[in-house]
This record gives sequence, C-alpha cells and structure tokens, in this order.
Amino acid sequence: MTSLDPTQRLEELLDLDALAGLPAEEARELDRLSASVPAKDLSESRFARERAAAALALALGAGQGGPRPPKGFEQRLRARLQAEIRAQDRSGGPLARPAATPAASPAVPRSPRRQWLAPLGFGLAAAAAALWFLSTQEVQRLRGQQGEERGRLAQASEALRAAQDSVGLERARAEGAEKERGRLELELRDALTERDRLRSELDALRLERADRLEELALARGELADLRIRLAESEERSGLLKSLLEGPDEQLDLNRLLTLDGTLRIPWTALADPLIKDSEVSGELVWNSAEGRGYMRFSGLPENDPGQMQYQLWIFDRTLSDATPIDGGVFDIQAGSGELVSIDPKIAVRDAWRFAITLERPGGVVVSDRSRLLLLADA
Amino acid sequence: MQLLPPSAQEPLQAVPSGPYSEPRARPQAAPKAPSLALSPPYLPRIAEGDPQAVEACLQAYSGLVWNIARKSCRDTQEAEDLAQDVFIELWRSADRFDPERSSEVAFVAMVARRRAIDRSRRQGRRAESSEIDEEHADSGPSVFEQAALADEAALASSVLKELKPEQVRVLELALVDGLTHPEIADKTGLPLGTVKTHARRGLLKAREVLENLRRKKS
Repeated sequence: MTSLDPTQRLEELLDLDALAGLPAEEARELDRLSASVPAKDLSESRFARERAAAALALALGAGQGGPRPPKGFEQRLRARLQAEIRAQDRSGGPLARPAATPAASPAVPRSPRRQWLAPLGFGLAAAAAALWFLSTQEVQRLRGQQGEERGRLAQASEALRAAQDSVGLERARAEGAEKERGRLELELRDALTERDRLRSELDALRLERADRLEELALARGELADLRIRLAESEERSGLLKSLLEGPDEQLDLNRLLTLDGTLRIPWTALADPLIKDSEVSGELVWNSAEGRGYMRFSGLPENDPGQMQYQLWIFDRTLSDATPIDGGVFDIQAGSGELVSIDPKIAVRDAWRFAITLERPGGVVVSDRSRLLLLADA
Repeated sequence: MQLLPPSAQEPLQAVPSGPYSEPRARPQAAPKAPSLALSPPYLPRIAEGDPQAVEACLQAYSGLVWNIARKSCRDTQEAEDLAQDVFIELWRSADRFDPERSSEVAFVAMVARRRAIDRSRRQGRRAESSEIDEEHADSGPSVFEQAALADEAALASSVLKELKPEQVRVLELALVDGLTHPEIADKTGLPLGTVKTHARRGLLKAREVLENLRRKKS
C-alpha cells in the first residue's frame, strides 16, 4: 500500500507499466485509477511514456546484436502476413487497403464495334419511346409512394431523435454514476490506506506496551529482591549491633582494668539460704578516680524481678557505715551475661566495702541487711 | 521485391505497377537492409496498401522485433509467435503512425514492447533467455547500425549519460533484458523502491527531452 495521492499513484503506475509492465494487481489498480481520466489524455500520457521507454530501449541497444532469428523466420512471417491480408481482403476488413481497389487496376481494353448491329437501332429506339411513356406514369406513381415514405421516414426520424435524446440522458447519468463510483473508489482506497497505517501504529503501540509491561515486571522483581536484601541487611546489622553491645562493656571493663588505682576484689559469699548450696564466685572491679566499676558473677542464682531483686551497697569512708550508698538494683537472668556495670546514685569518694543484698522489686533506701549475700572489701 | 512465392500471390495481383515493382528481387537474395529505392518510413505506404512497403518494413525491423520478442519469451516458438503478432499489429495500425510524433523505429519498438509486456502479463511469466536457442551468432548489421540512430534514441543516449551507472543498469535490465522490477531487485540487491525510483527517473528525463524535440519539430 502506498501513501501517494491518486494522481501521483496513477503517474507512478503509468511509468512502471511503460518500463516493464505491471503485475496483475497493480494492473487492476491502474485500470481503476484510469477510469476517472479522459480517454484522450490517458492515451497521450501512455504514448509519451511508451515512446520514452522505447527510445531508452533503443539507446541501450535493445534492437541490436543478439542471436539471429531462427531459420525460416522471415519466410514464416511473410506467409502469416499474407494469410492475414488475404483474410482481410475477402472480409473487407481493415486490412483491405485502398490501393488494392479495382479503381487503380489497369483499364480493360474495349472490343471493336460491330457494323451488323446498326439496323437494330431504330427498333430499339421505338421500344425505348414506349418504355419512356410507360415509365413516366410509373414515375408519378412512385413519387406518390415516395411522399408517403418520406412522411413515415420523418416520423421515424422524430422517434429516433427522441430515443437518441433519451439514450444521451441515460449515458450522461451513467457517466455521472461512473465518475461518482471512481471518486468513491479513490476515497475507499484512501480510507483503506489510512486504516492500514493506523493498524501499523496500533501494532507498534502494542509492542511498546508489551515491552513496558516486561520492564515493569522486571522492576517489580528487582524491588522484591531489594526488599529481601534490605530485610537481610537489617537482620545482619541488628545481629552485629547486638554482638557489638556486649563487647562494648567488655572493652570498657578491659580499658578500666588498665588504669592505675583500679581495684579487683573477689566476692565473699555469706551464709544466706539463697546461696548456701551454690558456689558463687566473681569479682568487683572499681576505679575510685572515675567513680565507677563492674561486677562479675558466677553461680549467682537467677532472680524473678517481680519477686525480688539484687541490690548493691557501697560503703564510703567519708560517710557513716549505717548509711551506705545505693549502688542500684540488678537482675541475674538466663543469657543476660554475668557482667553488671555499677551505677551509683550519688558520687562515691572513698569506697572501702561493697555488699550485695536481696531486696523487694525496685530496691530499698535503707536495707535491713537481713538478706546479705556477698561482700567485697577493699 | 516479392512478398510471396508466385503460388501465393493472387490477392496482390490488383496492385498497380509502380516505380518499385521492377526489377523484383528474389526473397532468397533479399539484403539485410531494405532496398535503397524504398526508404523509411514504410508504415504510411503500408497504410496506403503498398505491398513492397510491407516487405521493406519486414526486412528493416524483423531483427529489432525478434530481439525484443526473444527477451520476453521462454522459447523460440513463443518468440516467433510474438514477433508475428507484432508485425500483424503494425500492419493493422500502420495508419496510426504519425511521423510528427515519433520516428518509425521508435514506433515499431513501442508496439513490440507493448505486445511483449501484455503477453508476459497474460501468461504470468517471464522469459528465461537461456532457453532460447543462442547458437546463432550476432545477427549482423541491422538497419540501426547502418544508419544513424533515430532522433529519439540519440536523445535517449544523451539522457543515459546523465544518469548514475546503477540507474542505467536498472533501465538496461528492465528495457533490454525484459526483467520485472522485483526480478531486478533480486538481481542487483537494490531495494524494490530504489529500483522503481531509478527506472522512473530515467523515463522522466527521456520524456522531457523527447517532448522538447516534438515541440521543436512542430
């Protein structure tokens, strides 16, 4: 299908036809498009193209060289031509050429007049006179008949003229209808061309949409992967954080142990029912200059924070022994580790004893010291 | 110059004696080119019923018509049938030839090409020239080689010189070898659209120069 307008397309088809002929489908298209062109214009147009094509063919050597015609070619050609000419002469067809008419034939020579024919002349003249008289009457009768015939002929002519007018009218209508049909065919062809173009565009859009959907599916897959990787990353970072938190206290303790003045005092277990059957050990680490430290335990029983909690007391030489400093409550839980940092509520100036008691949840301000478990003296 | 052997001459007996009737050459002795006593154009004289012009026309253009016919036919017999059809048509349409509009050579080539194209289209096939008997050598000097090319062909030659080689090649395959446009595309490897454009460009230029020639003549 082409996007040329009908006139351009007609020109193209005429060119291609003159150059090498057209396949059947394009030949039909040419016929359709030609229907709207006056026959004379079309004929001129074809002639100009075919003359140009023939001239180019001659210039390119189409009529020269090549193999000879087969033996007897010209003789057979003559015989065929002659047969055609004979057939046309007999039928009076278009091949019967004017020069072949008898008018151009040599004159046939006349034979000499015979003397014995003279006496017959008078008899013949009398017969001729009688014939002339009779024929005059016959002529008048025939003239009458001729007048009647003329009248009938005039009527017939009138009828013929009316019929011709009618035919002319019908022909004009038919030509109008033919032109309209040609115009509609051109419109149809344009519409079909446009339809094909739109179909092509639609196909292209469908392909593009399919591409986009594919890209979208890929992007969704990538997004899901990223979410999984993010979750894994968060999990890993949480793990790392949890791993790092413990070692932070350990690192701090190690650092504290390197400082001058840091005390390391082992715990002394006292005779409390909670630990009497346990082998509790461990140590207290304290640095007076920094006023902080850590406790390590081994074998200290787990406590239920809703029932009881461990509480640390720090005895300071600058204060009364009756009012040791509250070192805070803590719990021993499974998996919580056995290293506990010391967080005094007030500043410790000169610690000399550390004690662990068992108290009610949240601890007490003043302990009755009834459940004294461990001691560490500096 | 005789058209036919004596046994087949009855229909031509009424032709008047004329300056071209004596002396008559025998067909076997007919030269490649027509007698100098009868020079082209022959078609107007054929239209007037001159049988000698028929013979002269046949001798002058049989090579041209044969060469065009054999390119568009599968075998020798088809080519000969086509060539005969071309001469019959020339005979029938001799009175349509107008020397003011084209040379006789170009007119004959036009008729032969149109016949060949119509025949190929009807039969839906193309010639394979290899099937034509090629054992005969070059057909020797034709009327075109003896005389200057027709005005149209000379002008068309000048047009060809202005075209690119590949455009000339396309025209040659279409007009001389009788290939269709798709066949030319296959043979040259050019896209079909390019083949058509090349061929049309050459035709358009040739039309322009020929139209100028016609105007000058008129």
